[in-house]
Amino acid sequence: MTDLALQTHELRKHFGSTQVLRSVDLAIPRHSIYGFLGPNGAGKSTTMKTVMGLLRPSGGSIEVFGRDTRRYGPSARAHIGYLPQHPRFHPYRTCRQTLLFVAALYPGHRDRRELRDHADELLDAVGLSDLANRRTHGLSGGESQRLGLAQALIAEPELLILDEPAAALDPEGRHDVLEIIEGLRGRTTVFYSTHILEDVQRVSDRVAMISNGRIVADGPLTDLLSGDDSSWTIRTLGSSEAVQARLSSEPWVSSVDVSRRRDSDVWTVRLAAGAPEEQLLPTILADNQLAIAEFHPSDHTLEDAYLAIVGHNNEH
Amino acid sequence: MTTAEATPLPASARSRSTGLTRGLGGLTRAEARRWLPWRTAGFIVLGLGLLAALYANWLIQPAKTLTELLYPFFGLWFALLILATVAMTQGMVASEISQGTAAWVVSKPVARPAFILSKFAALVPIVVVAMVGIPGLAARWVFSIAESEGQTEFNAGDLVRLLEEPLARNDYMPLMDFDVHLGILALMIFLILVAAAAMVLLGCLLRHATAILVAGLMVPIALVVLANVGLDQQVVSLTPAWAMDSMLDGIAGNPVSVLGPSIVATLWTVGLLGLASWWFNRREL
Repeated sequence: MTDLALQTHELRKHFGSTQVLRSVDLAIPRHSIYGFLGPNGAGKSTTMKTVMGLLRPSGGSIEVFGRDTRRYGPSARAHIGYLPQHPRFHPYRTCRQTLLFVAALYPGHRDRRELRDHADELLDAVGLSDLANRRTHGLSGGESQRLGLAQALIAEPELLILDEPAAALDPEGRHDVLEIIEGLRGRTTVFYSTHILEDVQRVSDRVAMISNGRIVADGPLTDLLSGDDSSWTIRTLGSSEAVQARLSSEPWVSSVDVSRRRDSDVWTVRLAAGAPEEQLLPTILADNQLAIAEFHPSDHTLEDAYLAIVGHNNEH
Repeated sequence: MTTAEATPLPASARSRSTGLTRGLGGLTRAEARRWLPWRTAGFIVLGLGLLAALYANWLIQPAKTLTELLYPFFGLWFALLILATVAMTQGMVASEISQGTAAWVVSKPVARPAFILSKFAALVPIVVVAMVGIPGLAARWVFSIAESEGQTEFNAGDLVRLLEEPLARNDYMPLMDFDVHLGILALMIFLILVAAAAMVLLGCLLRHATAILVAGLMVPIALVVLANVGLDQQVVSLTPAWAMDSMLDGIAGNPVSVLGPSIVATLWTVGLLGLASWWFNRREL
């Protein structure tokens, strides 16, 4: 059995002359929590809609648990729970009826009472138990988002595709969503897009970044956070102009950024690939007008990695 | 892994049902629940109300025979039913597409044609039973009253007797025998189904509700024109206008042809639904 829950190969999509997806290659392992990052218009929602069969790919292939979705569309979707970016429901149904309606569209038979209990449990989990009998046309954006998550979970899918699941939620709702995703770890594959990098850092174990319709980074979160280990942070005391000029002229130094903080300067020095790191400190200390207060590899956040990767890609 | 090498799907999702059958079953039940309580009652009240109005008219103006007054019932009633069908089905598909609920539904494990066919399948029993069946058989009963009374003077005090006697005597009006009556009802059903299928297709093709409504109203008008414009009968018999023509014959007291027009109307219904399903299947949501 394939170890991949979802795989796309050279997925392309254009709307008229606008190329939205240029070549998207994703390989999402089973039981991973996979964050999908990218700026607005990068192609996150288009990728998800194409996987769900709502948009027709212009080229490439999509496989869900090893099955080509063009050939096995409905049976592939039987494994997927999907939350669109802007969930819409039939306005004449209550929240509970909406969940039961969705459950009836999935294969497999469940006892009606058992299903109703399951629906109520989910409504409770997303904080909508008080609104179980309210029609969906009266729901706020955040409540719709919560119901959207519940309907994506009602059939206990093996793959959950969530398009901006926390976008319309208040901090409490966002926390609830992350708790639910965290609770699925090890049982369900979660593929979700978001702009909230902090959320990705908290729950994801793998991340893909998309920019201009291409995947520009893809891999375990730990790899992305370990970052470029040739970047160093240095805090110095004293005059630094001469050292900065000398360091910048070295061929093995990619960039030198210096910012002033109270009585010291904070340097971020990026070294070129294969640079002799051991030369960095002697080069700085060669000028004895400087005192070193701190010297350590730079800490990387997902935001640093995101800005570096996506920013670099946008420049090109 | 290639498609050919794909291993069996996990047990939790294996099922004998396909996206079409499961989707059609689930969506039709859901759609029918929307129709059943109020809209069904509305159609029954509409038909019976029209019948009662004509009957009341006869009570007030007994100079004419009831038969003369009740003949227009079929024409008027059919016009009302077509208008009601067009009005009630005009947003059935288009509004779901524009509101995003169609995309939500087809993101579930259902085949897209199931979404279209379920809209229609839910309508069929309503058309047969509520829109045509119950009021149509009620009309049959009132016709039998007409036959029992002929052109005699009538007063409201005789109403109870009139309601009881025809049932007891089981005699019917000679101008329209029971087969003709049923034939008119059958043709009416097939024509309404053609109109509903055309509305489903228009809902797939057009985006604006007003455009769908206007185009939908053109369908029965086109059928009436085709039936009366004096086209070659061979041309007419290729269209649902044949059913319209035959139904109008029956209402006028002439022999009614049911089988051929019904088959042609059914083929048109299937063709329109097939086209709608094909179009919707290609559409991006």
